[in-house]
Amino acid sequence: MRSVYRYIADLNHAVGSNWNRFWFQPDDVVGVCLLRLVLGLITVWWLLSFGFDLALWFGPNSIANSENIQPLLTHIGSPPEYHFSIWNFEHSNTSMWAVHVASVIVVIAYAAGLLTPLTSWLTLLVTLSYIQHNPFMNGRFEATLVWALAYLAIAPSGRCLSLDHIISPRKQDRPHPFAPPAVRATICQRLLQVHLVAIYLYSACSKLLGETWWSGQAVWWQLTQVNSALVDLRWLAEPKYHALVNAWTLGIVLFEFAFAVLVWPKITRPLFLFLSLVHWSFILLITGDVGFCVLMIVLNLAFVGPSEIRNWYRGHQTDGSTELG
Amino acid sequence: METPSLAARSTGPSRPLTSVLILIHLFCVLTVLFSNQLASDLQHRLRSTLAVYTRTLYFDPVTTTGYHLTHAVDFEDDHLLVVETSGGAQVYPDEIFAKGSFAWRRTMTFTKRLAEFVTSDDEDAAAELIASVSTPYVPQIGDRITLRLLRRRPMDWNDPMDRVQYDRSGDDFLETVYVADAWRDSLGQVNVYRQVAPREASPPTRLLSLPAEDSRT
Repeated sequence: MRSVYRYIADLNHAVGSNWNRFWFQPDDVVGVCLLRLVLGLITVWWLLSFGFDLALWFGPNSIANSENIQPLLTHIGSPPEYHFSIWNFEHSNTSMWAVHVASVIVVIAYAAGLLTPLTSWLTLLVTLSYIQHNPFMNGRFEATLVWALAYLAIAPSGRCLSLDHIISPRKQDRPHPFAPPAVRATICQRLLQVHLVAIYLYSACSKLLGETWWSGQAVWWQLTQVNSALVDLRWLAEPKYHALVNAWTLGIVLFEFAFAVLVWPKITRPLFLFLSLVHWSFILLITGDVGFCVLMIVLNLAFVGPSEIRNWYRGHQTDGSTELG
Repeated sequence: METPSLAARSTGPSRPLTSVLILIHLFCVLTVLFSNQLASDLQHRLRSTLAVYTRTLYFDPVTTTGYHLTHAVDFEDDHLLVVETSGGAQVYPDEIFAKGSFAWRRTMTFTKRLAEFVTSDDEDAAAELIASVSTPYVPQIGDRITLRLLRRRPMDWNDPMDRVQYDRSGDDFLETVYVADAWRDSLGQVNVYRQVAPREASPPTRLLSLPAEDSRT
């Protein structure tokens, strides 16, 4: 009986210490700062794209008018209270553009790292507003972007690679390596890692719900959607290429399962981050979902250690300066 | 990350409280993520209970996330929306934007959602979405349009004819899924009337198939 107690005590100690090291070991903030910069730029790119179809989705006579969308949301069991958006209020053409321009300015400030503790939350609010007004226009990109921005909002992501750092009066007093490590940076990075891996795992599991993935034909059915695909690969219909398509299909499922496991060990991580780049590049060709594929590649940065980022940066410095300001 | 000396310089939130919050958060997001398709009754209940948190922050989209890419069901195929004005002009909303752009992707996604609803038995939801799509095209009282939803039939590699005649712009691969008239009445409301072929006037046919019922394999 004593050995059982000892085992439980050892288990408790091992789980507790590993949990604390995983979530609470203070980390260099450069990783989350780089992610803020890149995700901020992607969000700016996405928001600017609304310049082409703003009136279609948010104007006085838009597709997503509250009169039609809100009853529909209630009808499918997701009442409008869950879908708060600044766009739910009536807008004239002038106020519509004013809100859009203000939103773009907020997100540009966030990407540049200006007033980051404030603009990170405002960016999340702005993004949710654009997404929640009409959930029926959203795809994989929006579903992924929003959680990444939410996690970055809790991190001190403006401490370097930012205007906040450049104009900070305390900049000269900071010891090496330029910004103090922070527990919140670790929590943010770990949440990003866990959520990203969960996406891979879910993606692989959900594929196996369909026979087309088991039979190795799913890639064919995807690439035959020529309105979406960036390149026309229907020449793969020739029987001599069928085995290639089968291998591609099964390879996608295998890779996604493997990524969820093998991205954690340091020895296999670089390989799987590289394979991820290849994987999403090919998915991009057959789906045409540029934003989502770029985002999935960028989120790999959550697995790149701060020391690698700093080493990479130093390798590109020509003037001898190493400060990430 | 492994540097022990950094721990001494940490100032952070309370670990027990933060740990509990992390666990609750992960439970919520993982539950709704894995309930996105073919959820059990328990998952439905949990998803509904957690909705205040997960829907508000969009951790749980109201539609399928699409991470699976395709299950080769009809509504996942490319669909085209054609708006025919009373003057006879035809507008293809997806052709307004550059291919691959976010604006183009939004239009394509919305059209697929439309297809998902109109090919299900949920006529009310389909009518609401069709009315929603029609709104920008009938700005004035009395304006009238016809909306056509076309599906691009995928090419079957086992069908020799498909392999011979495939053509990016070929209309042979387009089939009409849904046709409706929409107009703005004297009260300013947008009304929708679905055009139904005589043979379809009998009880509705269920076209929507779940992934487990795939027929293209």
